[in-house]
Amino acid sequence: MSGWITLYDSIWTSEKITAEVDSRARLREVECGQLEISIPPFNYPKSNPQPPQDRPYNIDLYHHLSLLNAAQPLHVNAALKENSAARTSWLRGIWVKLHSQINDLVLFYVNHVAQQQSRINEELTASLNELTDGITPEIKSRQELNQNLRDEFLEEKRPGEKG
Amino acid sequence: MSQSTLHQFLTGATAGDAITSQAFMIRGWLRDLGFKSEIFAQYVHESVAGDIKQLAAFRRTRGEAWAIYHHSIGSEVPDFLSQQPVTLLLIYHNITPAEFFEQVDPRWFNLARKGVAQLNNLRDQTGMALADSSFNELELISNGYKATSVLPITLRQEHYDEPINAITESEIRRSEPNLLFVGRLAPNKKQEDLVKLMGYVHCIHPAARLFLIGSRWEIGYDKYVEQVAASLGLAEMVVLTGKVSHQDLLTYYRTADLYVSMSEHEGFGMPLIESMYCELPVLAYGVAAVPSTMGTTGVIFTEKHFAELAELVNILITDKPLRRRLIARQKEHVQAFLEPQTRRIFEGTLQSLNLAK
Repeated sequence: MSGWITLYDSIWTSEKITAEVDSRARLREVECGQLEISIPPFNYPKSNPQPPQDRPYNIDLYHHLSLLNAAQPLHVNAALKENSAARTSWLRGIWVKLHSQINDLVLFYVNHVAQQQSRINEELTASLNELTDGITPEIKSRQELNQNLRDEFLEEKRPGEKG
Repeated sequence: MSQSTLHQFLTGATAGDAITSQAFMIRGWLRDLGFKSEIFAQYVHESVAGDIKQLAAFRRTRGEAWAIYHHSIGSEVPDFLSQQPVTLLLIYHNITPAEFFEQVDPRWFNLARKGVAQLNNLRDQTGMALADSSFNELELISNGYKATSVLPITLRQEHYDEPINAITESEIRRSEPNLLFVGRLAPNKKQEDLVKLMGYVHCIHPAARLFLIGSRWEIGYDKYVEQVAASLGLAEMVVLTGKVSHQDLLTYYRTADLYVSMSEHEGFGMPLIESMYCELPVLAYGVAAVPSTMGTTGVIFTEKHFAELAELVNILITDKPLRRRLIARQKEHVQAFLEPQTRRIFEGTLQSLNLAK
């Protein structure tokens, strides 16, 4: 890690301050242990839609959707990690070396597939949330249209009934 | 040739917005030069409604050959101006790349793409193009603009010398040290990276706080930032203030210990200059226009090594002599953004176009 900090100062140079923060970070790691913070990326503004309060809705749809949103974290990194055998020294023989290389190869493909599947799951959840949010007004509008049709049908029928 | 009317056009106008403030400043300069000058916008916020006219109210007068257009996003304004027989003095404020909205906000994604297309369409109608940073000028040149120059956004000195709010100041000083970032809550500003950095800083300074000043602009993003802070146990340490009054903004600048930016796109970065004027050391991720706005001042980093950055934050907070030197250098740099300098550049541009004596 060099050349990533630029500082214009009469005493500290960019190189000196870069080396200083690097050294302090290593020291703190020894004193306090390594701190690894990871955060999920921002991708999905659509959260779990809530059932409408003012009209009937499909209970099953909202139930399954809430289960899906509860089960689906925002982002899943592939959980598989490097096998300890992969870090074993050459001294343990050619079998260990072979095992390590095969293990790395499997990890590469499994991680790749797992990440892809995780992404698909997230997209599906977001799409379902979007769709559910989108169809709710449509349902209301359809109900109103149906009601209008019924009213008009009754209007037309009445003169005949009278006659 | 000289003319007596020179109007400005922009997409949206609201109080406190950097582009709107610059338009007001330019209108003042134009009126001082004897021009009849108004500002027209497609969207006019009620905070400036009495001072800015609706785009539809524009009527070109006889002999009106030029117009000033501030370009920053796709809108109806360029299409409207293309119907007018006027040559444009374009002021380019940069367009946030569409990729930052791709997964997030389809409307802004489309507006950003439209803005880029319109920048190309405006080229032939433009007689002179000014950019508010050398980074933006390079974008103009890469889009085929020939006559270009740099007109930095002006910092209105008198607005930043006003007294601060004592109540807000005591609230900020309640726990120290305090980091500050100013900018709307938007994915390209990367406020979540500031929260992550706070996770590391917290190990060094358990009482440290991060103030995120800015409107809750992007739907859901503010909640996401709050969730990230809560998940790291920093809900109390990360304060999303929303948009604040100018006096409170000044108070944050003058009371905080360090301004930190992790933003991955800035077309200019006005808060960097505001911090410098208010004697607040600046630490910023050096992308887009940030390096050209900061010049040879402050501290710029190009990699987000969080553990090391937390140590850098610690040094910048605790090394008093270093802070004094940084602040002095920043104060010197910020002079280039004050009115006398920027006004001279603007008037020089009008003279070069034969629009003013």
